[in-house]
Amino acid sequence: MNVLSPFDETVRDLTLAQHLPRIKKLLVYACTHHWESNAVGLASYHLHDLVKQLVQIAPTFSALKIHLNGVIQTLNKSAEYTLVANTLMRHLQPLYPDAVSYSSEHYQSLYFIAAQHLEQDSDAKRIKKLIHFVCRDQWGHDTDTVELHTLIEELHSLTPTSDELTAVLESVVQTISKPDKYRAIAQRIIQGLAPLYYPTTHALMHPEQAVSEISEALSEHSAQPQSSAQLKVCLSETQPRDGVATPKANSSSAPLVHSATGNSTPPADTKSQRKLPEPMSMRKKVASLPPEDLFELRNEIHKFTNPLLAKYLLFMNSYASAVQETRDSKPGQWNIMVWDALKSTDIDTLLCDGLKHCRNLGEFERSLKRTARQFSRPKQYSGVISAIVRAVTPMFADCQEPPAIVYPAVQEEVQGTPTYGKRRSSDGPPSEPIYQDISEQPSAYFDSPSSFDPERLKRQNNRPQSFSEQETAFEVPALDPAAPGKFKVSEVNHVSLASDSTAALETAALDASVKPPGLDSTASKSVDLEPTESDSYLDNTENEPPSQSSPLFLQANSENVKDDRANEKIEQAINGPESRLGQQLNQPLKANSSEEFHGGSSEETAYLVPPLSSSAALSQEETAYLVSTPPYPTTTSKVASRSQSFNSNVNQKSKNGKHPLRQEPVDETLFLPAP
Amino acid sequence: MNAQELLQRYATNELNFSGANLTGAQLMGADLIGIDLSNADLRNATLILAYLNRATLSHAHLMSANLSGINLSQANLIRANLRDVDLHGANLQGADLRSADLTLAHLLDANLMDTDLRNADLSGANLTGACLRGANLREENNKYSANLRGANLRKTDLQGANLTGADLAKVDLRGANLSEAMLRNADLREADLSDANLRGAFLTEANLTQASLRHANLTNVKLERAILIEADLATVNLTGAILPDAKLQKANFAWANLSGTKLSRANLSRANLRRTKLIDANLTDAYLARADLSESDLTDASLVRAELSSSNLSGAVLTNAVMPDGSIYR
Repeated sequence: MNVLSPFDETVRDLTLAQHLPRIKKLLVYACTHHWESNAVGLASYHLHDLVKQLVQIAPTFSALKIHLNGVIQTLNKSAEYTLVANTLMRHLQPLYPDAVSYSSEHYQSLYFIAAQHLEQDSDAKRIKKLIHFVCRDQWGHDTDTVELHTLIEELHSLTPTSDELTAVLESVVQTISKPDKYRAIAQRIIQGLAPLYYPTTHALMHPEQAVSEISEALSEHSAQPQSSAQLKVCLSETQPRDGVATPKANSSSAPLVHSATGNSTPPADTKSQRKLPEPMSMRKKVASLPPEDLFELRNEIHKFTNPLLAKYLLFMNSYASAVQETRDSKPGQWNIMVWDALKSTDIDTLLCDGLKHCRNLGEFERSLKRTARQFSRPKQYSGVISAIVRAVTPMFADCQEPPAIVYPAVQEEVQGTPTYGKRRSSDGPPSEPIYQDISEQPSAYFDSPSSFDPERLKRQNNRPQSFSEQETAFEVPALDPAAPGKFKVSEVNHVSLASDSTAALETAALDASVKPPGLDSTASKSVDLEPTESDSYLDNTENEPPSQSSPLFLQANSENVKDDRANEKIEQAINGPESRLGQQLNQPLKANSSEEFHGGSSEETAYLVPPLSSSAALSQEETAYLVSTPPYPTTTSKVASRSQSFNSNVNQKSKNGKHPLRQEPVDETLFLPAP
Repeated sequence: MNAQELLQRYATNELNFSGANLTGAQLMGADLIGIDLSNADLRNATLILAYLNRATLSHAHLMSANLSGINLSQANLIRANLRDVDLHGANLQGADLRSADLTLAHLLDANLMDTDLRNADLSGANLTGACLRGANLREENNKYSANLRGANLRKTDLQGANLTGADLAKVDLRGANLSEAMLRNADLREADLSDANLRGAFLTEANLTQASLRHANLTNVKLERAILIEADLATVNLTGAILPDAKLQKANFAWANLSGTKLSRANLSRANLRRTKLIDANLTDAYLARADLSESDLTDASLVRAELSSSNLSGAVLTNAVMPDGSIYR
C-alpha cells in the first residue's frame, strides 16, 4: 500500500481545496513576489514545489503567518486573500510542529461555552454564517453540517489574538453586501469570543479569578450569562491535566506549561490582554462616524419616512426648549422659530445631536417616543420613529455606555434650578431625566425615594386628549430646588401603580393630589428627601446615577425588582388592568408649569407629575411621603395603608375648565408646612 | 375654485382638476393622491405635508408655493413651473421632473431619489442635504442638460447619480457624496468639491478647471482626458485613479497621494507636485515641463519618455523608478 508522507498528504488536500487558483496565486506571489494572473502561467507552477519553497521561506508557523500577512497587505484585494491565506494556513498546519492548536480540553470547554453563548444570540445564524465564511471561505454553504464550536476552534487557531480576530472580521465584513449589519454581528462575535483571548497563563495561575473574570466577561455581553459555576466545572475539569495551548505534535510536552508557570508573561502584558473590547459609547460612535455612514443614515430615513417630519421630531427631541414651541400645533403649523431653525440645519446634524446624548439605542428610541407623545398627533410620528430607529440600528446596535456606578441613596440638598432641556453629558452626571418607556412595563415603582429627580418632573408635558378623567395619576408635586423648606420622605418603597380600571378605583383609598392654594412661582424653598429605610432600590437599567444636583429620582421601571414580596404586592394591586395601565403610563404627564399653566385661571393649581400615572399600592407598614415644594405649597402627602391607590388626574385642564387636579383627595393627604 | 371645493369634489372620486385655478389655496396636509392638476394654477398655494403621490402636475404653475414636506413620489411634474417653491423635506422619490423649472427652489433635505431631472433647471436652487441617489440629470442629445449653475449642493447625496454633461459650474459641492456618480463631460469649472467623496466617480472628459478639491476622496476615480487646469488637489487621495491624457497644467498636487495612478501622457506642466506621493505611478510620456517634483516620492514609478528636463526633482525619491531613458534608478 502506498502510504503518503504528511507532506504529500498536505499537498493533496490542498489540491482539493476550494478556490485553488487563488491559493496558487497567493502561493506563487508569496514565493516569488510575482503576481501570476495568467492561467497558463499559473499552471506552470507545481503546488508541490511551491509548498516546499514556502516552507523554506517560512520555517515556523508564526513566520508563515507573518510572511503571508505581509504579502496580503500589498494586494488590493487583501480581504479576499486573507480568507485564502486562512485556508492555506489551515492546510499547511500539519507541516508545522510549532503550530499552536487549541485542542486542549480547557480550550474545548471554552469553545463549547462560547458556542453556546453565541447560539443564544438572536442572530445566531448570521454569526455562524460569518464565522463559517471567515474559516472556510464559503458563504452560506452547509453551515448546518458544521458545529459552531468547531468553527470557533478554527477561528481561534487562525486568529490567536483578539487584534487579529478584529482585523480579520473587519476586513471580511467589508466584502459582504451588508457590511453594516455584519459589522454588528462581528462585534458580537468579538464580544462572545472575548474569554478565549485571555492569556493562556491566566487561567492556570489564578483559576478562581479566571473563572470569575471569564464569567464576568460573558455576563457583560450576554443576555443570559453563563453561570460561573458552569465555567468553573469546565475549567476545573481541564486545568489539572492540560490548561494551556499545547502544540499538536507534542501535546504532552512541558515547555508551554513551563512558560505558563514561569515568568515568561510579563504582568503588564497580561493586563493589557485582559482588557476586553469595550462597546463604544454613542457619543464616541457619532464622533467617529465617517461621512459615508452619515449619508447612509440619511438615505435610510429618506427611504422610509417623511424627511420633514423626521427633522421636526429630531429637532424637538433636542431643542424643544430653545424654540418655546407650544407642542399643540398641528404638523406643519409650527411657529416661525421652528421653521427657521429647521431651515438652518440638516437632518444628519439633528440626528447626531439626538444620538450622542443617549447611552444606547433603547434610550434614543424612548426619548423620541417621549417627544412624540408631547405632540398633538403622536400617532403620526410612530412611523417616523420606527424609520429613524431602523436606520440607526445597524450602526449603533452595539453601542453601550460603560456601566455607571449606582450611587447609594444620598441625602442632598437640591441646588439651583434644573434646566429644562439640558442635555445629558457622558462626562458628568446626567442632567436630563430619563424615563423608562413605561408602556412596556406594566408596573412601576419608587425604587428609591432619594433618587427622585425634580427635572424629571419638570419635563413632563401635557397629556394627549385620550388621557381621560378616569385615568389615574400618581402625583408628585414639583420640587423647587431653591426652596428652603425641607421634608423627609420616609420609607418610600415600592409604590406600584395601578391603572384606571374600576377595580383600581374601587380600591383607591387615597388621592395623592395635593391641593395647593395657588401657584407661587416666586416662592423659594428647598427640598430634601431623606430615605429612612435602606432597602430602596436604585434603578440601573439605564445606568443612570442620580444627578448630583438632583438627588430626587423617580423610577418607573419594573425590571429591577429584586424584592419578590414587593413584586407580589404590586401584582396584586395591578391585578388585571395591566394592559390598560401600560397604555396609561405611556401618556406623558404635564409638568412644565411655566408654560402649561398660563391658560388657567389664577387659582388654577399645577402639579408636577412623575411618569407614574396610576395608583400606588403600598404595604401597611410602608409609608410614603410625597413631597411638594414651591412653587407649590410645601406639602407632604402621606401615602399609607395597604393597597391604597392614588387616583388623581394630572395637571391637565379638564373639559369644563376646572383643573382635574383640583378635586378633593379621596383619602388622607397631609400638608406639611415648611419649617 | 377654492380649496374646500377641490377637497369636496376629490372626496367624490373626481380626480381631474386640470387647469384649475387654485392660487393661494390652503391645502395643508390634504390627501390628494393621484389627482390630476396639470396646467393648474397653484401659485402661492400651501401644500405643506400634503399627499400628492402619483399626482399629475405637468405644466402646473407652482411658483412660490409652499410644498414643505409634501409627498410627490412618482408624481408627474414635467415642465412644471416650480420657481422659488419651498420643497424643504419634500418627498419626490421617483418623480418625473423633466424640463421642470426649479430655479431658486428650496430643496433642503428633500428626497429626490431616482427622480428624472433631465433638462431641469436647478440654477440657484438649494439642495443642501438632499438625496439624489440614482437621479438622472444627464444631458439629452448633447443639447439639453440639467442646469445646476450656482446651485447649493452641500452635503448632497448624489451617489450613483447620472450627471453626464451637467452644468455644475461654480456649484458648491462641499462634502457632497458623488461616489460612483457619472460626471462624464460635466462642467465643474470653479466648482467647490472640498471634502467631497468622489470615490470611483466617472469624470472622464469633465472640466474641472480651477475647481477646488481639497481633502476630497478621489480614490479609483476615472479622469481620462479630464481638464484640471489650475485645479486645487492639495492633500487629496488619488490612489488608484486613472488620469491618462488629463490636462493638469498648474494643478496643485502638494502633499497629495497619487500612488498607483495612471498619468500616462498627462500634461503636468507647471504643476505643483511638492511632497506628492507618486509611488508606482505611471507617468509614461507625461509632460512635466517646469513641474515642481521636489521631495516627491517616485519610488517604483514609471517615467519612461516623460519630459523631465525642466522639472524640479530636488530631494525627490526615485528608488527603482524607471527613468525617461528606460534605465532603472538605483
